[in-house]
Amino acid sequence: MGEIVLGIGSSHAPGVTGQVEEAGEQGARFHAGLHKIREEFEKVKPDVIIEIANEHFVNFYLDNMPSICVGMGEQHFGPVEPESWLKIPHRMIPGHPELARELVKQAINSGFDLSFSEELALDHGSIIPLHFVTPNYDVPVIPIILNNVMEPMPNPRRIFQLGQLIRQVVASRPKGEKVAVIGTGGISHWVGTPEMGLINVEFDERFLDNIEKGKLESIADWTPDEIGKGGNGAHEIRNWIGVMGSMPANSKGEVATYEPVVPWVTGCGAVYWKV
Amino acid sequence: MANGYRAGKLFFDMNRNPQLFARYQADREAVMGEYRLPEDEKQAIRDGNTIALYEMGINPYLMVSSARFLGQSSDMASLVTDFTKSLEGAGPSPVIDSVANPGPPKNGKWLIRDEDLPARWRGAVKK
Repeated sequence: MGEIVLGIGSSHAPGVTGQVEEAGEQGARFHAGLHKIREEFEKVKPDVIIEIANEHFVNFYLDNMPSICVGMGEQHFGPVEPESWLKIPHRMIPGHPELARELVKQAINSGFDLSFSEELALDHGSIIPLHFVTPNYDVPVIPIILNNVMEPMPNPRRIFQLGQLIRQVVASRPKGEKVAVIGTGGISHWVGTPEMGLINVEFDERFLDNIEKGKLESIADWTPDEIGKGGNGAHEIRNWIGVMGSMPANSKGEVATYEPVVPWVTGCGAVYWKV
Repeated sequence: MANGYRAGKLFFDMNRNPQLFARYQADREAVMGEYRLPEDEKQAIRDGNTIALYEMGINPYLMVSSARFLGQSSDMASLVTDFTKSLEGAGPSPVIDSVANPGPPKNGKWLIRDEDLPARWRGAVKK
């Protein structure tokens, strides 16, 4: 029996590594929260990470836009952004093709038709949390890329079900792997619109309050319009909703940090669920 | 009426392919022709007209990662300031429906609450 040993949700604003000085003390506090999450990660020593993220027109354009794509590759290149921009060197990140394939197979057999790719490149959306949580990149990562960038996007409740599916698949593993599930992105932000830079702190408070109270099913029922109060960037919370579905029911999350960082144009939060 | 699809595809491909970007820099008209851009997409690119491309329907995320193809800096700080400023006055994007549009900050107020959103977005929220 495999087990999920840790859940993590974290913002992935490029400024987190690319504009550290500009964010001053707020940025330092956000980093400190990520370091706390890294400590929790190292306590439980996961064998594999399933990371639910979205990309920003890196692998997929409108000619082929999967709702949910599981990365089955032996390894993944990342970050795609220049090192001078994101301040993170390029590398190959180890994958876990066997568990990834098993996840897709069980999904399809239970009526959940996931897409897959044997060659995904990872952008800041996937790399930034990994950079802090597993800086040596020595834990295999199965990236699951959601479409959170082009409407119509997958239904949040459906992504919660994806999380529940992940939980079932991990439990079915005879090898008994310890799995960490990470979701990245959000919280409120606007990207590439005239609003870019605004942060809806009330939206962020509401989101994190529900997480702290374990009201995960409630978030899974948020409509796209409710999510849209936090900007187009808030639609990335689907990635966190995937993590929520993989946790035991009504699990209360601990907020490691929340900072509305204006230079990073994002309400930046990071939470973890101890299991 | 152009919807930005062909231009978006060119930007997407140039982000992945430095050789294509080099050819674009050397002969933009030829590359735009290869990608079969309609005339108004070509003209918007010639003019560096981010508002026109945004209003046509190029996804905002793709706009940001394509700033350098439109003659703008792709420095992180510049994207937040200059690129966003270039969109001031833009009408709604046709590819965004479920996203609140309060507009740029009023009186330097970057941190907002639900009450600062347009009427459509101030509806009942599940607690």
